[in-house]
Amino acid sequence: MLNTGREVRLFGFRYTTIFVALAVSGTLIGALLILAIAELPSLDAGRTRVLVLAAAVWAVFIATLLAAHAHYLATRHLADVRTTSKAILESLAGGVLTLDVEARITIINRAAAKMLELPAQAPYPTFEEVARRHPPIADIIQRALSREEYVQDVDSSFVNSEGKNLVLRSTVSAQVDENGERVGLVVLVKDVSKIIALEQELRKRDRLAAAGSLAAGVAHEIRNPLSAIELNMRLLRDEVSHLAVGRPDIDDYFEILSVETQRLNRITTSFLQLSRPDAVSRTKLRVRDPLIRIIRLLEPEAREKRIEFRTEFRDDIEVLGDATKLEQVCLNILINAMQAMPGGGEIRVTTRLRREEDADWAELVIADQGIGVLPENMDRLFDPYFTTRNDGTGLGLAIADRIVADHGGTITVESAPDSGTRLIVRLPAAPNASARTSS
Amino acid sequence: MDEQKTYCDEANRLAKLRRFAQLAPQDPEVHLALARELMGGALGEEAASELHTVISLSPNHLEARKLLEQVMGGIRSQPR
Repeated sequence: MLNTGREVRLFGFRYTTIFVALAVSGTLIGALLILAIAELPSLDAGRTRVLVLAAAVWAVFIATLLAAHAHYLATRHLADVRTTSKAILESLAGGVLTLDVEARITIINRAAAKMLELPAQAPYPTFEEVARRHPPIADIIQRALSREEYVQDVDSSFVNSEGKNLVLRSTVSAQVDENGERVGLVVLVKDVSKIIALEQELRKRDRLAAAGSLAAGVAHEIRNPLSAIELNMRLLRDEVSHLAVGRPDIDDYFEILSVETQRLNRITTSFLQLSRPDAVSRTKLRVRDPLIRIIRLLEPEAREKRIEFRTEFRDDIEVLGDATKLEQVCLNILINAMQAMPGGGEIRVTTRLRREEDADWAELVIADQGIGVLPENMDRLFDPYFTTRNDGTGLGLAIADRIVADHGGTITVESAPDSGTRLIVRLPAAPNASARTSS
Repeated sequence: MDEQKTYCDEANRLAKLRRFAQLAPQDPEVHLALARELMGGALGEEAASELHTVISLSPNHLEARKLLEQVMGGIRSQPR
């Protein structure tokens, strides 16, 4: 497309102009302007062809430049999108894991890598490796892949390399492309350990509060008449002892009355102790000290029962607490551990400092090799009067829990039948102890 | 005279506690009270026996365990 012969004046000169349209595949992409100072010779057919050819070459050159620029912009935009997506993925507090339909892992974000203890960068582990470390998660992935059974909020436990028992909540859904075809799976994993622990703690506190408020009043009313009954019964037994000569059955009646009133008295006293928070006198003490004291008290008995204490204490962790009450906690827990090991064995006792966002915690960990706790009993372990032993009172752990709660701490249990039990007592660490202690 | 009275009171208290311990053999507090009285009277071995009874009745009894450690230390340090 040519437009020639138009004359223009510019800076005092006269020009003759030629416009050549530049088009590629019928699309106008620019124009070529030729200014001729001299008078233009007439454009014959040959010259016109040369001009059109030159314009075509020029048009292709410009089109190539434009295409290259467009490609550059698109690539940069894609890179930006990828960077943003990756940044979003990496910033998520929840874990994200994606797999293709062949069960090959394609993405593991940082949170998932941390929770599942898997590498966050390629080469990613194989599905078999994931299955070895996380059988329950691998199972739901397998079911989603083979049977298209997608699940939501399935909890599984995982003991990490620090020995911490985590509860992981997983959701598996299909990953589809723009045509709706399944190209893989998206697995979302959340660490809900704290939520579960808080829920358990709340349930426990609710049960204790409900039982406590009702029974504390009753217990208080029972205790006074019970003391009178007990005292008078003892005096009566003493008075009639000469009449009961040759009548062992009378002595048996008194015996039963005595034992049962004592039992009632102990129950009501303990219940009153359990149902009201106790004031704690707080002094700074090393968290290992109550343990050392109690282990020394228990060692003769432990030796008789072929039980060995293995200890690993840090001497720089301090708490603010009542030394005698914390000794009672240690005694109750260690007695419980010893009773769980009738055939002897080893009890590992350690102290450690755990740093968390909100606070530093002194932890006492007591791990036995005993018979373990049945899953259905885990929730009730700290309930008053809950016991699985015929001669147990069911108060040892309840009292320990009460004392630890009065100190602002918690007790958690990790156990499975026949694989021992681990009780972790967490107490707020004294401030300066945590400041000069590395975790 | 006063010393005589105190002695009688203590002896009487020990006898009463022994009697109570017989009447309420399942009550750890009675055995503990008797053990304390026996310790005061330097009757270490009998005190240890009562403390063992307390611990068998109430394994979580911290005071009894501490007293037993004290009594056993005393018994071991006695010349034979």
